[in-house]
Order: sequence, then structure tokens, then C-alpha cells
Amino acid sequence: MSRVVITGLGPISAVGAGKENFFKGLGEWHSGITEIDSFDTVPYGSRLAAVVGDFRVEDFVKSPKTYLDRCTAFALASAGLAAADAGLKAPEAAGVSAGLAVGTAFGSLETAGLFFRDLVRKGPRLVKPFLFPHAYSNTSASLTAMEYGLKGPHMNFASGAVSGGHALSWSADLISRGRVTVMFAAGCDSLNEILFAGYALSGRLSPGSGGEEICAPFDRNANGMILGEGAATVILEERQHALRRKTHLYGEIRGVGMSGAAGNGELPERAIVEAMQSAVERSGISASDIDYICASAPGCPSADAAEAGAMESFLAEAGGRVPVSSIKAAVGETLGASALMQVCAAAGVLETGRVPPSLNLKNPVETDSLELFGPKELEKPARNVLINCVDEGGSAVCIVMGAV
Amino acid sequence: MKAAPRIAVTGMGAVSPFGAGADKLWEALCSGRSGIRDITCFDTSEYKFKRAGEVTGFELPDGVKNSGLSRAESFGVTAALEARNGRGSGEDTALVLATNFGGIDAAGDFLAYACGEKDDIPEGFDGLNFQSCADRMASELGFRGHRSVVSLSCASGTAALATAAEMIASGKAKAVLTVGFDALSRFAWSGLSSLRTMTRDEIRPFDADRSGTLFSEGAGAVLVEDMESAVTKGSDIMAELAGWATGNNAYHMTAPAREGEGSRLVMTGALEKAGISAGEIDHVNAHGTGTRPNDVTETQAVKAALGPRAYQIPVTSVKSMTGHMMGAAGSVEAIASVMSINTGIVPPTINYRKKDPECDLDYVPNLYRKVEVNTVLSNSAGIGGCNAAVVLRKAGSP
Repeated sequence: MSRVVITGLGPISAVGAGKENFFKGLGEWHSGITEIDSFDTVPYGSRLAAVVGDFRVEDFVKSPKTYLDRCTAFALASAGLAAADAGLKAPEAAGVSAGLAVGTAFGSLETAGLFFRDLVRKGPRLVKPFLFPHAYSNTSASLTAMEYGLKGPHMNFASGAVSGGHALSWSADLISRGRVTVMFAAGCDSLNEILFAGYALSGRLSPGSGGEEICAPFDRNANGMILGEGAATVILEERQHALRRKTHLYGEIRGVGMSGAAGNGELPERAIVEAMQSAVERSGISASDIDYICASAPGCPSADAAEAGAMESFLAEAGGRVPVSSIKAAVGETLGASALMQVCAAAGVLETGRVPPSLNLKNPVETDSLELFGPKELEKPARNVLINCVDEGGSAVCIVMGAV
Repeated sequence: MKAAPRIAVTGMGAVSPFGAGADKLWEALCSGRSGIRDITCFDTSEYKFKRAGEVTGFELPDGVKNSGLSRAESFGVTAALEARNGRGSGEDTALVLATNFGGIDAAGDFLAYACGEKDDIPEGFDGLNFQSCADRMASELGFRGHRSVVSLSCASGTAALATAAEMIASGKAKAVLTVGFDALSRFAWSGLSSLRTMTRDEIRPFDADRSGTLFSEGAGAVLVEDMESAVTKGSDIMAELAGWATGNNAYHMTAPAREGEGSRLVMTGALEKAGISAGEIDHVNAHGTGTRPNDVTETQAVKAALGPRAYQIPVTSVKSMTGHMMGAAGSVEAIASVMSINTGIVPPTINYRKKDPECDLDYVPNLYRKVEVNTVLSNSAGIGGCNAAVVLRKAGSP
């Protein structure tokens, strides 16, 4: 089995685009959450989101485009950043077999909405045909493969908030079993009124039934998630190939675990424990080797509690306390992008030993073995980081990233 | 290095324009029947195309608990329940769904609301997050493990099999139920109509006068398991999933690559994965949509992948009968491939009248054929340049 390393990072987030800005934003405890101005939020009872501000796709992608859904634009930009970071801007031309896996919860929903609006207002004969191919779940995957010449293994996961985790898992497996040398693993989702309306009207967003609108993972006063948007691409590469190329290695994907809760309303705690244990087992390490957990906690009390409970169970035998934080108070709940964004953050932790905090943490919930910290960052050299990615429907993907 | 686990197909289920049940599907395919008829599930008066492979007279089977399933999900659940009736599938079975449009058929009202076209707040948002379809389906099936959704446009069903195979091969699951599903909807129909891939004629794959495809709806469920585990459990081993590959043309959003390069690569990749040579393929289950570009480039790709063998074997387009079942197409085509292996019957490509000199393979015109089939190559492609192929082989092959 080949070993899988990370050789490029491409985050596009509300705290910064590109790894330098992203690490700086997280390191300065900066929150990208701001008031939404791209549509009227008055009907929805919430006003905030972590928006990627001042984004122009031309800054990142040189070939001209007549139309791009915002989600696709993020994906293209993010993949380009990661490819440049890895020194792999045109892998095929360099004779490197490369594929792509994308995870996106809602895909090109904004474009689907535009297309549908014409259908409803004007009828089927007056829809705009050019919009439809841009309205698919896999539009981002297709255009990214086209832009960077990625003809190898190709997949698009539409698995809600764990989509990015699935994309990474699939990519790592292919490299590990020698089917491909390089995989672009990307996650993307964009804010639009349809998405916001759906979450707001089902009561999932802060401030829920009242109080301050704030994203406060693991805080006793947490009252709901705040949506984010963006994309994150990581370049996964077969380790020997990366060493021969003398390119920078950010870390190694040591193991991935996946599970899901029963659909009868079972809380996801058991599934998260299983996924964490599986990730750690497949990594050949034990729970006591984990130096930091980059949590999924979005600031919803029940989701945060289920994950906290799972982490406590998982760490029970390890003894000691492990630092835990969630970056979602900074970048928001980015759905399909979340797992890959957390991988980017974890890469920063492995490099610098500076661990991003849970912003807005004033009254942490009570725990035994979890060192919940924030709003300030922590200094802690790390060799093994565990990343949790949990979907509200009960699916969990957990990733162990190790220092190289 | 330990050899990768072999993979068994141990369950199949389908909902198609021919009704609920894989047997109904197969019987119709062998009979050369067309499932295309006038659309009744929405008003087509303003639409250019009015015929499709619609699923009519459909009812959820007894025992389905969730009354809130969208039409598309209902198809998926029904096919899934049929596929998991064997002993192979327990609560730890993973679930991989495949769909183009998920629950969008039920989200129309919500979309209209969010676009400012309605005032009262309707249901249906969840259908836009395909994972919620997976959650509901897992709940119906009593599954409590990993679930994911792949959405790779018209290659989704085959891509789900490739994904499931990777999971088993890397030891992440012992059993995976793949369920490809999609339903007709105004959203899908108006979009697909506007792409100019449909015809007002019949679907005539590979025919000189072919002028397009027609879309359909339904579901196909294929249960795959680690072979050793399947044997131990006493599962009914219907075939082996021996090879699989996915890729992208990286060429154009809606047109196939020159010479069908993208399809050639995945067909070759699937053969390589299976460790077999072109000479061992007995039948190709084609993507065969009946559009002018697809059929010629796919023919080129089959020839490039299989060499002279391409001329010696039957190549069928099941879509000539089922129509293009979108997310379910690859799943249903895998089911047809397994049935061919186990019955020695290759279904026809119907509506075939006039040979196209550029499509010069043996497409089994109009009438089924009895052929000993040990190994089938099934090919799929989708909007956005994506491609997927699988190799299915008779159970018990060395």
C-alpha cells in the first residue's frame, strides 16, 4: 500500500483566500462572519453568514468564462491555488496521472434556482439553455477537470456536510492502492438565498428561538449554526512521487473512518465514535497519540453535544486531556467544503504548532478529557491531528493527519 | 501485498417504465418492448417533447414506513428493498446512492418560494440536499452505517458501483447497496429539452437516422459484497464485479471527446482492473443514448478499447427500450448485464432500421439473441464529460 501525503493547499474562505491569508485569518482569531448583503434576509430571522468577500474568479483562473455558478467559481479558484502550491498546474502535461474528487452538498443550486425561476415565470420555452449544464451537482467537478486537464479517476459526492470527507477518502484510497499518483480532493458550497432560506426556515440557524445571533461552538450559550461558503482543495499525492519531486509535504493522510447513525432519529454519537476509532485503527495509532482534534461542531447545541460525548468516549481510555476546537466560528458551516477546509487548518497546525481556537468560546460546556479552548489560539506541537466531519443527518467522516 | 478482495453481486432490484421488479424489466428487455409513452405526471402542453419512459401505476410496497418520500426516493426505496431481500444485507451494509436530481422533483414548490414566486413557505427543501435522501432510505432499510451519494450526471449509476467497489477493495465495507434513482420533473424535463439531446422520433441507438434520446425515470439497486464474506454468509452470488474505472474527458461540457477518448480510457481501465484482455469480453452493454454524437464516438471508443474483438461481440443499447433513466441508467444496465451472464440472452437494440457506416458493430438489431456470455463490459457517460465503466463476470470464474 502506498502512503498518501498532502502537497498542496487551496482554501477559499471567509477569512481569506489562499493558504497564507487563510492561516493568517485563523491565526488572528478573525471571524469571517458578517451581515449578508447579497439578498434580503428580513423574511428569515437570521442575518449573518461567513461570506467570501470581494471574490473575483478572474483573479484565480486565467481562461475566460462567460458564465460560472458561484460554487463552481470557488472550486475552480481553489483547485488552481492548490495546484500552484503543489507545483502541479498541468499534471497531464507533466506526465503525471491525476484525478479529481469533489464534494458538494448543494452544488450549483444558485444556477438551478435561476433556471427554475425562468421556468416558473416564463414557461418551458423561454428558459435559458446555457444555464442548465451549469445547474448540475457535478458541474464544479466537470469544469475543474476541464480547466486543469484532470482525466484520471473522477467522482462527485453530494453527501451533505460530509461530501468533502467522502471526496478525500475516495481519493486517498485510490492513491493508496496504486490506481493513480495524484488526486485533487476538493469541497465546495456557496451561499445563496435558496440555501439560506432552507436552513433558516427549518430553525437550524442562530439565533434559533432568540438571543444573540452568534456562532459559538462548545459554548453553553450556543444557539444555532451560521452558514459559510467557499471551497478547499488539497492535492493528495503518492509519497514516493512527492519525495522525488522534492516538493513540500504538509502532512500525511494516515487513516479515514466513516460511519452513519441509524435513521430512526438515533443521535450521531455512536457513529462519530465508530468513525474516530476506525480512523485511528487504520492509521496504526491509538487515541492517546492524538494531539489535537479539529472538531465539526457548528454551534448547534445538540450537534456539539453529540460530538463532545463521542470524543469523551473515544478518549476515555487514553487518559489526559486533548485540545479540541472548531474553526466554524471563523469560517462558518461550509458544508461540502468543511472537511477539506479543516484539513487545510490541520496542515497549518502540523507546520506551526499553533492551533486555531473556537472563537466566541466564553462559557465552555463541561467536559472531562476535552480541553476546549478559545477565543485565543493554543501553542502545541502536534504530530497527529484528528479531523471530524459530521453531517446533521448522522453521517461522520474522521481523518487522521500525521506530520511527515 | 495482500490481494484485493474480490467483489460479488448478491442482490438486484429495479423500478422501471415496465413496472416494479427486476424480473419485469428483464422480461421487457428480452421482448424488445419500448417503455416510452406519453407523459402523464405533469402537463406537457407547453413542452416540445411529450414522451418519456414514465413509471406508471406505481405504489410503494407494504411495510414502507416513511410517507414523506419524494417520487424519486420512492423508486429508490422500492428497488433497494427488492435488492436486499437476500441474506447479504444487514444493518452494517453501506449505502451509496446515485442520482442526477435527487429530491428536486419534490422541491419545486420550495424553489418557487425562494425565487419569490410563492408567498407561503412550502416543504421540499430537504430534497435539494441529496444526503437527506440517503438518510431517509437508510432509515427505511434499517441501515446504520456509512452512506454517501454520488452525482455524476448520466454516469451516476455506474459511478456508484465503482465507488462501492473501491470501498470493499480498501476494506472499508463488507457490503454496499448501490441505488441509482431519478424521477421526471418539470425542472429536469425543461432543462433536458433545452439541451437538444431529445428526439420526436423513437430512440434509435446507432441507427443512421437516429436523432436523439428520451429521458425516463426509475431506480436500479445493486448489492455488492466482499466475495469471501458473501460465500461465508451463503449469499446468492449472481456475478462478480471484476473491474471498474471512472474518468473525465476534460474536453467539453456537453460533447464527447474526439474519438470517444474519455470512454476508451475508462473501458480500458476497467479491463485492466479486472486483469482481463479484450478477447475475454463477450458483450458490451453500451451507453447508447441514441444521440448523433454519442453513438459514433462510443463506437470508436469500443473499437479502440477492444480492438478486433469489438466486431465479434454483441453491443446492446438497453436505452433503446428503457429510455435514458438518468441516475438509474448505469444501475439498470448493470442489472441487464448480470442477467445476460446468467441467462445467456443478450437483449436487442430496438428501433434499428438503417445501418450507419460510422456505427458498424453488431448492435443486436430488434431481436434478442442467445449467446454464451461470461463477461460483460458496461459503459456510461454523462453531461460534463464524465465517464464510468464496469466489467461484470460470471460467478465462479477463476
